[in-house]
Amino acid sequence: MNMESYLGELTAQLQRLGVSEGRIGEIIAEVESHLTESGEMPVEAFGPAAEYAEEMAALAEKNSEHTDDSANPANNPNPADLSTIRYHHRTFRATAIDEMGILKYAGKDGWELVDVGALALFCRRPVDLSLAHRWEYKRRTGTHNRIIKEEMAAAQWEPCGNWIVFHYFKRENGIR
Amino acid sequence: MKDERKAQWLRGVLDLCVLSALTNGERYGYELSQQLANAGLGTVKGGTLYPLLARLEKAGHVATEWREGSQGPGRKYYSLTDSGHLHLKTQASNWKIFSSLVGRLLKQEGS
Repeated sequence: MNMESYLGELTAQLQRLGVSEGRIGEIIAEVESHLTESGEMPVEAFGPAAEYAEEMAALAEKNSEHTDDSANPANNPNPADLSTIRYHHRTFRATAIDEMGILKYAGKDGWELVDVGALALFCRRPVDLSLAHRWEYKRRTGTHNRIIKEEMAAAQWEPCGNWIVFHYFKRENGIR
Repeated sequence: MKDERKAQWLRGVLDLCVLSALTNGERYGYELSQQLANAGLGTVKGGTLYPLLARLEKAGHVATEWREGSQGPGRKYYSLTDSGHLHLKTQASNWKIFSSLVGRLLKQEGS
């Protein structure tokens, strides 16, 4: 398993165990930092992601945060959007375990991801469905935000939200 | 010496070794693992070291600070607190007593 998929699985497991976002970010950054410097294989150095997550979760504060819908940009639509195309907004509930599957189907159905939050994918789709595109999505994992963005931009992927160490990218993929 | 045996012995005193490695100033995790390896203690895997550091932090024996890396990801630096110093001092002398007991018992065998 490469580092990025290991970090992704570790994040998902920590989230499942109710570890706070801030603490997840720290745990991931430390693992990433160690692996980058040592060049070790993730499972060899840290053991299976599920077990490492269990061990660190037992030591971490539990998550008391709850999702806040006022952060949903759908509630504060960008004025520029109103001048041209009218959109329906929809928030998909998701976790780091299932969100790429949800995005795959939502994207095919014309839903464009505009931001992400804790357990939430904020999407929009033109009210006039003839204007809707198909979207494809990719998730990258890590704390090298800038480097990841550069790599993805080179392949025409546009950033559309970050959550802790997950960075989401979208790309138009034809007409719906 | 087999690494497995060493790792087994180390398990009981790794926290003291880590605290001791911090007496010369702050270190980040990978640096600590290198220092322990250079001291001849074998490889301490990340899966062992970081949970231990988290326990020491929770117990108040170490303090932590994040520094941004210029290139790669940031590093979390660990430093000894007063309580960590005290804990190390007390437990180190307990260990010396224990290891000399074992040493005395094994004296005839090891030479």
